[in-house]
Amino acid sequence: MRGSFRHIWAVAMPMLLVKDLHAGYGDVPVLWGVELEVDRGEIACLVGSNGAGKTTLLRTLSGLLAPKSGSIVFDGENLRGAEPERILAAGIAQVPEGRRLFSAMSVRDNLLMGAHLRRDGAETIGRDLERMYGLFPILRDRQNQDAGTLSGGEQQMCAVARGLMSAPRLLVIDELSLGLAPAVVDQLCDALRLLNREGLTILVVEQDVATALELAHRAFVMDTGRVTRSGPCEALRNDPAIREAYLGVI
Amino acid sequence: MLTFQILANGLVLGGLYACIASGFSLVWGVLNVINILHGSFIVLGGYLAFYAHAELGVHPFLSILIAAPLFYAAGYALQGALINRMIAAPVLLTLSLTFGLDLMLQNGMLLAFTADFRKLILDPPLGVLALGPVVIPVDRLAAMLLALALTGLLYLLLSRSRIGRAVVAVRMDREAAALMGVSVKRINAVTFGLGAMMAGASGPLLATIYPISPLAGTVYLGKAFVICVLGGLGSVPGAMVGGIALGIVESFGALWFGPEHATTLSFLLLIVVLLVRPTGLLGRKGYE
Repeated sequence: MRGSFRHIWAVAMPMLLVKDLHAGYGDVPVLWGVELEVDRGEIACLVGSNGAGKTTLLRTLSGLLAPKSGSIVFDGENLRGAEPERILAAGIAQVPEGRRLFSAMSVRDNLLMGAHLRRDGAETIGRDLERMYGLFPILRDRQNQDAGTLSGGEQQMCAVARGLMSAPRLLVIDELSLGLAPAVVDQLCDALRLLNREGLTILVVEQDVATALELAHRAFVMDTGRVTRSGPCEALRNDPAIREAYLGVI
Repeated sequence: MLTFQILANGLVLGGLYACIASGFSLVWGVLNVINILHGSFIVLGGYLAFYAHAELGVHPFLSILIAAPLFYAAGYALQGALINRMIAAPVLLTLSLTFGLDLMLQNGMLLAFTADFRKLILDPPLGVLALGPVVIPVDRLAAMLLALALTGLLYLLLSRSRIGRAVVAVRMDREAAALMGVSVKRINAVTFGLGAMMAGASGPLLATIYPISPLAGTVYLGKAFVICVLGGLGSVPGAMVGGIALGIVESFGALWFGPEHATTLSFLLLIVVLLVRPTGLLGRKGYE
């Protein structure tokens, strides 16, 4: 029963469906009924100014913060209020804001931490490790170095690779480009496009709206705890209101 | 020549200290819990060895194999059932909790074992090893080597195994660890279990050297505390360095100022380290 239901879901519904999500810290509400959907195989981006609630939404999605009401459904599975462990096992991995690498652990051990939940054997995990070194060759050179000694760009590569090591179906990245040099951002975006072509679904949260709209297929604009606009990136790029508010051109 | 003898004594003592402190340091560093029970766990491990030896004729070094899993299980259960409930509370509250539990354990041991001092005596004795002018009792040397081996095993477990990596990850960033799918509560319990295991395993080692009494734990706890601050919190190499340093300082201190001042000296050392290098000798790195 469950299997066939999920099959129907897989055909008819988006991969991730967030409906009327309310969340906050203590008595302070931050999210006021967020609506969001991510389709299989796309790159979606979530943009918005500081304090719009992007990080709070991501903390709720990853299970670090329990929502007050609303629903989060991933591939037919209701994940509202689930523990981070269950959400990761369901197939959503998150690259947190500020990377949050285990700084006094080697790069290799950081990547292995990404594979913590996997039970498919050292050989498969080893193969994925090689894949990560292929994707970001600098990580191979640095594999025995403490993650804290890496440059900002290398750390972000390590964080993305660590997220990928859980073999997720949806990779969520909080603040991909924050504090990084443009050349590094380009390299990261190229890697994400490549992963996407190989079938990975990606949700990127970005403060740099221009970068986000260039990378993603679909965009969601957040403002004071709600998603206020959404649509294909191309359409938003040409929208005068967006251009004025976020891209600095009129 | 006396210098070498004192140095050897200090090293033997230091190896045992490293073993005592590593579990205490692990719990403090990962859970931010100052486990007052640690000293009494050591004493309880000592009693286990004493009775296994007296009643069943089990060699104290072998009873480590019994003590380690028992204390691991007890520590795991205690953390899971009780301490996890207030793990987010300020450190003084968890300290009060373990202090209360320690009072119960101490009084329980007074009831069960009476306040008499007991001494585990190996028969036949293992004799002494003479290296030129330096004389080391073999039982002490073996206890120290075993203590160092246990500490080394803990280090390997933390740095090489999947579960050990998760413990280190929780120590560095519990939220990021949760995002990796680590069940932080379970790792808390594993960590406390490991701490109890190290205490329970050092009990039999110390029982071959020192007399056992229900309230002897306080002294061990004080040592563990000093060593942690000395070597740097939450790191096995730190406990190793801190333990050996304390062992040597106490031995020479006893020679120069009289054995009655050894403890005073160790706390004096603690104050100096806190003033000069508050992060401890090995800084603040983790178990990498």
